[in-house]
Amino acid sequence: MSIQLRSLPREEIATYLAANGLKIQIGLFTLSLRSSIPAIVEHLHNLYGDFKLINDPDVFIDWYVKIDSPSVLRRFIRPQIQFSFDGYQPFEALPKDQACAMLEWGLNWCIANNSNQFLVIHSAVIEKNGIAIILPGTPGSGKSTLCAALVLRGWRLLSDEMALVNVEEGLLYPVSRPISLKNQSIDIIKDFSPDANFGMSTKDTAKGTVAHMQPPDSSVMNVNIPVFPAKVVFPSYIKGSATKLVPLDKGKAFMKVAENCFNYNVLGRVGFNVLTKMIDHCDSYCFEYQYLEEAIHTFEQLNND
Amino acid sequence: MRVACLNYKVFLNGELLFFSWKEQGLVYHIASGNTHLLENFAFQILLLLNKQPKVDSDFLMNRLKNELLYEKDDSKDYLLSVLMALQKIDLLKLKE
Repeated sequence: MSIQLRSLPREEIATYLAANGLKIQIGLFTLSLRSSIPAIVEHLHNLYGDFKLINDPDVFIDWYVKIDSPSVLRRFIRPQIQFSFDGYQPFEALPKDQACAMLEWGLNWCIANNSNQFLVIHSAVIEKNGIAIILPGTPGSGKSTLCAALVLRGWRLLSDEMALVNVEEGLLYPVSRPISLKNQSIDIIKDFSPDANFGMSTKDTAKGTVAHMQPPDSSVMNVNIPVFPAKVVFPSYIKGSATKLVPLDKGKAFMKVAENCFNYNVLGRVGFNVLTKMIDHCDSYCFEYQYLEEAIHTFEQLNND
Repeated sequence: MRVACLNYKVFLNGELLFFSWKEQGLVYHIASGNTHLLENFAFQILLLLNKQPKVDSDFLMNRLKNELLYEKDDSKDYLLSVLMALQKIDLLKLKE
């Protein structure tokens, strides 16, 4: 029987990370993580408590990840950290205080680059009463802020970053992980829900200040339950805008989703077929908002339509 | 010389996948991997060519008139402008 990460004290997490790796189930994926960085221990202990650990040595591991100093020198002089995937470093080293953000970005990279059994869409995905809504959006569109507010009001989190649409049956597979918030969105969500649990804020990253919010335990528990997409909503946070939900025709919706895919071109005709089917079955909308309460009300109505 | 006087042979430039909704159609060009969102008239031209590869622009005009009931004074000019636009995005080829 698998146990949750919360059952391990910090010292034991650190021991696993420093030795053969801490093995964690993340949705359909299996991660083996190694690190000697204390902030990573704290990040996992604080935000990944509901995740299941893998204690069966025969389970296939999808991603072998290491996050550590690139050299002995960089442990002490202007300390840096490096993300490695199967021994390959896809990114430049970053300052050590960005370790937690780098881990999350790195895991996003793992999913986006190693999941061609799915059409991978850059989007948040939430679900309530069996109605799954895909929220595609570029950074700054307000999708993660909206997603965080909705899950804090009882919607299931499938992902704040990537929709995984299985290319065979068109189902959305959850990959619930901490929600990444940036800059003023951090305080907006802390004000919106003072009980929301956050990891440490990392300042001066390439994206500004970044902090991660713990995913709801129910979303992590139900990570094995896929769902068909029902609606596609393109959110835009616009200061001064009235809350506005406008239907979008299917052709334009298709092109906008395709632009937000990580691997549409890689999948070729398979990508075209799965995306046309998805858009054909979904209602699509453009959504402008400023106030989260109004936005949530609109989504509740959409859920009841 | 008016372009409309010319009669072109029209060919699809490789294999295409099609999907349509009411007034719009999507075309996926397998060779390039490009996807195009087309208005109905252009989409119907490509569908016709996909069913019947060896045609010329006069034949195409007659078929479109019959099937789409499309008939305006400048219809041949319009057809040729659409064919040229489709050629420009590599979905078909024209030969005099």
